[in-house]
Amino acid sequence: MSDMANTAAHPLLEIDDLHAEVDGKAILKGLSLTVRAGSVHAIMGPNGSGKSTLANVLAGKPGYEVTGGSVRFDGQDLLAMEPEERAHAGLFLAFQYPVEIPGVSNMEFLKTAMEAAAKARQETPLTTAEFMKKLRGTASELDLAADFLKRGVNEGFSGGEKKRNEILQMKLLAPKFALLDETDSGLDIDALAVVGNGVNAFVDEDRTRAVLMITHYQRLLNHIVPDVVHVLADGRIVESGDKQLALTLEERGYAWLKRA
Amino acid sequence: MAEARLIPQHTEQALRALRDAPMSVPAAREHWKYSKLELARGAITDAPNADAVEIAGVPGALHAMLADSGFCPLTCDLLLREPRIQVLQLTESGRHELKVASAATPTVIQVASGISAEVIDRDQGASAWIICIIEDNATLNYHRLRSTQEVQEWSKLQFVQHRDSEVTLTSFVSAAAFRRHDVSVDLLGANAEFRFDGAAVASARQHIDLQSHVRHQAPHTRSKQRWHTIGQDRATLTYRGRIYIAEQCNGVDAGLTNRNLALGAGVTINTKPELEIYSDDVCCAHGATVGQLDEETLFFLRARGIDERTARRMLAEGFLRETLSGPLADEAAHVLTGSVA
Repeated sequence: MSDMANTAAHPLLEIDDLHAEVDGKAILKGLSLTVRAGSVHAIMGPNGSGKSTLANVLAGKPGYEVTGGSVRFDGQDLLAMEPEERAHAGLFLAFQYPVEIPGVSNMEFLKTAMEAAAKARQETPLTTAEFMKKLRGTASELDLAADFLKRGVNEGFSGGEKKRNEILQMKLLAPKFALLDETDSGLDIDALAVVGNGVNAFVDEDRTRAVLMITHYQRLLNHIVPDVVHVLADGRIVESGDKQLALTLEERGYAWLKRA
Repeated sequence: MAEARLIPQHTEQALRALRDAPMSVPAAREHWKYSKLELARGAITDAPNADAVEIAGVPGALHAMLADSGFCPLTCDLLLREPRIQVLQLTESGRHELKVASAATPTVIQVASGISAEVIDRDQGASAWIICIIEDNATLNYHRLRSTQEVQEWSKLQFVQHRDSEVTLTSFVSAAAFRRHDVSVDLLGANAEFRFDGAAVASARQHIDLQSHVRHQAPHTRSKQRWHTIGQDRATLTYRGRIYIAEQCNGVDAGLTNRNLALGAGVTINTKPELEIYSDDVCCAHGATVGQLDEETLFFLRARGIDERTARRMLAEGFLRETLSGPLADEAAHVLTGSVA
């Protein structure tokens, strides 16, 4: 396992003094963070600290205005890219609340997304038969029944099924970097284990990848053990440490940090 | 296809009911939101010999479509006296491809008791007036597709349903300069059921107006309607969905949903669900929405690497696909999604 001291690895995500606002209100106030290949970082923080804003700014969601600082992703200027270009560059955001899209089948959606990824990589897209084989195989690894693929995207899925579907998308699209926004919310213990295994395998399979997970609670960290834990408060990283920091937070809450 | 010789007594009653409760056609000044009659003239004069057309001995009957009182009075007597009226008696189950002989005179489709028939109604050139009579315990699956854009159309489709009958109507409509579809349903016998799924796309300065009027006139009758539309450019889409539940019709279950997507600032969408209920023990739901593509959903697709144009198209198609069913669904998907920019 790498740690903060492993500065030799390739820096995949470099956030420097990032400022961002929503509806004219400053949310991120000088956030800096570097995530290197092969590592798993966790960002914890109280409600309103800017966790989800960070995820949305990184993924390029409209409505979030960057007012200062820079973000480099795999050497490129991330903030200059459209959301789809960020995805093509290898950034994957697992949504806190995956949307339901009735009328668009999960299969059709996944096929379109994979074709777009292949096109961006200048690869030949999979044939329908190859795609189906890959899709079925990956879905069964995640205990997703075949009928999930035929239904509308996330339509009528339980919270756990939606999050598993996010991991399915992550596995199929094979990004370089996974950004997990409150992935543990709405998950029962079984789904948590499935999602945890999926994320662990993601980095273990390929050490050029990395993960940044955003979470309010420590429990996801029982399943995905981070190399580094950061505490976000009032739009800035106020504390970084190893996995022990998460346990301290669980025990003592966030209040002591705010006073610090 | 056969000439009408004998029409059962209760069918005659049904036709009388049509006469007594004609589908209303708005007067010239009734309301700006419905089809303007100046626009409709094209739909009428495009019909062959429109001025000369007589329906069942009523001179200029087609023009009665434009009058306040709606259709001319319609009785079996009149139908039988008028050889130009096409009467299609379906006495065996199976599929029938409908060909309307004249755009100006009604075509009567009679589905005999106990059988299950399917009618395919593709573009009929221009306007059509179709009256379907569904006898006790009969099933009619009626599938309509309108894909030609070079026409002006004002079509009427009427269903008269007897006891335990079932009608499934699908109607998929690619807009034209002017299209108005009137759908009228009379649920006359207990336990009759009417289901409707439809979708339309209008672009440029096209105009689509759907007026549906479902009358529950017997207990334990059911109706369910879904109508999804997409408007682009400077198109106009109008919908009025009226549900009427008569007295002593307990156990009625009626519902209608109209959803509209306005893709562009120049689109006009008018929608008006109406309920008129005279029985207490009924279940009746209606809803209408006008909106744009959901930004959250659009962002979700883009975050998965799908470019914005493709994402918008996928969402619009998905919206239409929710209502696409029946044997014309694939063809309709092709026609409708092809016209979404």
